[in-house]
Amino acid sequence: MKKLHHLIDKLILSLIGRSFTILTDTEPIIKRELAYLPDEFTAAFAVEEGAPSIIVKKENNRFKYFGYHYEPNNIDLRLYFKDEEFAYEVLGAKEGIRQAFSEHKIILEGDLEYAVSLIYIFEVVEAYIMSEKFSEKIIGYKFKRNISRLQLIIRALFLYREKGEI
Amino acid sequence: MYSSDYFEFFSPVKIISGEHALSTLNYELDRLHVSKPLILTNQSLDEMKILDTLLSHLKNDSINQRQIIKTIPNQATIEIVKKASQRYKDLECDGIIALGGEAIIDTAKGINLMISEQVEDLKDLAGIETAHADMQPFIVIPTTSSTGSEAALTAVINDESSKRVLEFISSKLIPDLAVIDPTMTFSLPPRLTASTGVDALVHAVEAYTGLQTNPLSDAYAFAALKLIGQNLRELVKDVNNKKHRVAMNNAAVMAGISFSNSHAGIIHAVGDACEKIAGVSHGDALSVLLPHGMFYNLKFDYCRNSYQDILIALEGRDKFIETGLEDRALIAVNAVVSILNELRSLTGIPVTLKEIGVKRNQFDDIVDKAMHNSAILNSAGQVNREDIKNILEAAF
Repeated sequence: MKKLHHLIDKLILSLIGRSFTILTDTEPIIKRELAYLPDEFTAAFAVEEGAPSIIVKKENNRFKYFGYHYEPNNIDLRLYFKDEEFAYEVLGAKEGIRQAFSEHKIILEGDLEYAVSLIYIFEVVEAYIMSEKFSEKIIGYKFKRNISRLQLIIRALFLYREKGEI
Repeated sequence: MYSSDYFEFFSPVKIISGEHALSTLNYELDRLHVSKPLILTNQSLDEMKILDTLLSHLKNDSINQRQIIKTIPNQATIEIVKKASQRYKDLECDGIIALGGEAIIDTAKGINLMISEQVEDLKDLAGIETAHADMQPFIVIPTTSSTGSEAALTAVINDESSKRVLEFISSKLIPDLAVIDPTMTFSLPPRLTASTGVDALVHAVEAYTGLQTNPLSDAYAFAALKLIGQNLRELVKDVNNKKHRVAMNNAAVMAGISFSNSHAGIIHAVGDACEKIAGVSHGDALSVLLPHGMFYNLKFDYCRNSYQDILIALEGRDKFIETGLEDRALIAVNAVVSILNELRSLTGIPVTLKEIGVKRNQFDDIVDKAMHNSAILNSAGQVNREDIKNILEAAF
């Protein structure tokens, strides 16, 4: 079961990272939170300490996705879970990231104001990826998708992953 | 709303409270293997002879003047933390004593982080649970009964170079010992006693309604509320009353333990934002916002249930029984409003944001700041910008 959870965590986290980039153009909440972050702001998300992190970076008012990296440098904010099972609860649509944050299941290294921005973005991205029922539960209201789940997944599959130095 | 049965609760601080609590200090320093502490305080506490009171309780041969830093500012800063850390290293100190309020305690927490984690730049440790090393022995002697910092796992430290406020949240920041002696808080005047008491009241109320509310933090919050209900108004009427002062000091530390574990919520988030954007006092902002934040929370079932406990704590069993089930939460809010009104008539604590100097044209910035305060994530419901704006309008 652990291996299955690990695989799901890895796939969903990658999908979330890619969706950060895709939804920047269409989702007003993401645009607003992106504006709150400083230029060149770089964030790393991982399922637990020491696991590879997906990297997203703000450049020219857009998110760029850098894929998975081991021990990346020049990171402004790192977010990871105390244990991979906690990550699975969030990435497997059992619990919202806000609840996980409140329950001390998340470790954050960096400025907490910016972390809150990223948590809002993460929450919206999850709402796009997950079922209507889960989306409403974590967002707290019936939200309007500006792009369908299928479109998002297809675009995510073909998204260009930035290479080279972060 | 999603609810979970998972919680974490951590409170390792040893608390010594009451008359002659300071007399145990030498014994406790020995127990913690501290022979050369660095003492942090400020000029006012020195002038009020509070520092002298502390020193009179320490072995004379253990302290030289260089071990005492009396220049801690009203807000903890990276710069003062760095300077004090250097002093700690130069003098080869082996423990920290913070004598004062939140800024002094936060400065001490910053020093402990820098020394224990051996970092050059404290900014590297900003965030949640970033510290892993064994910490230096850390003793807090609070002089205001409100902040609960003596039992809290947070520190807020200003970085003046980047004009940002850095937050540090870690179980490693909790002191080893809190000595709560009434002789150290007697000098607080009625207005400040009221304001700091309301701060403790907010901590206890918010601990009840955060997303991480749990049976253990509820127990501390309930006990704190009971003491606040029985003692705050009486203490404001007679600030030198030892019994009420000790009770409020205990209430503050219990409220601190509860909200440290179940987190603050919307009242703190908006209050902090008012403080940062409009430069108003933390205590005044919380006094004004408390009833409005509670009214906002009434729309959530679990908050209404929690507020029933607040009614028992503040008004007693008889009032609880005679109040209908549907009305209990609202009557609990009214009980809080009644405490605030009485404190206003006794000391003039504010009831509107306008009164404390917040301007309507600052609302957008306050909303933005509050929405990015991590406390907002722990608040009931998914708070949005409109919710905060409505609270600000109602409190204006």
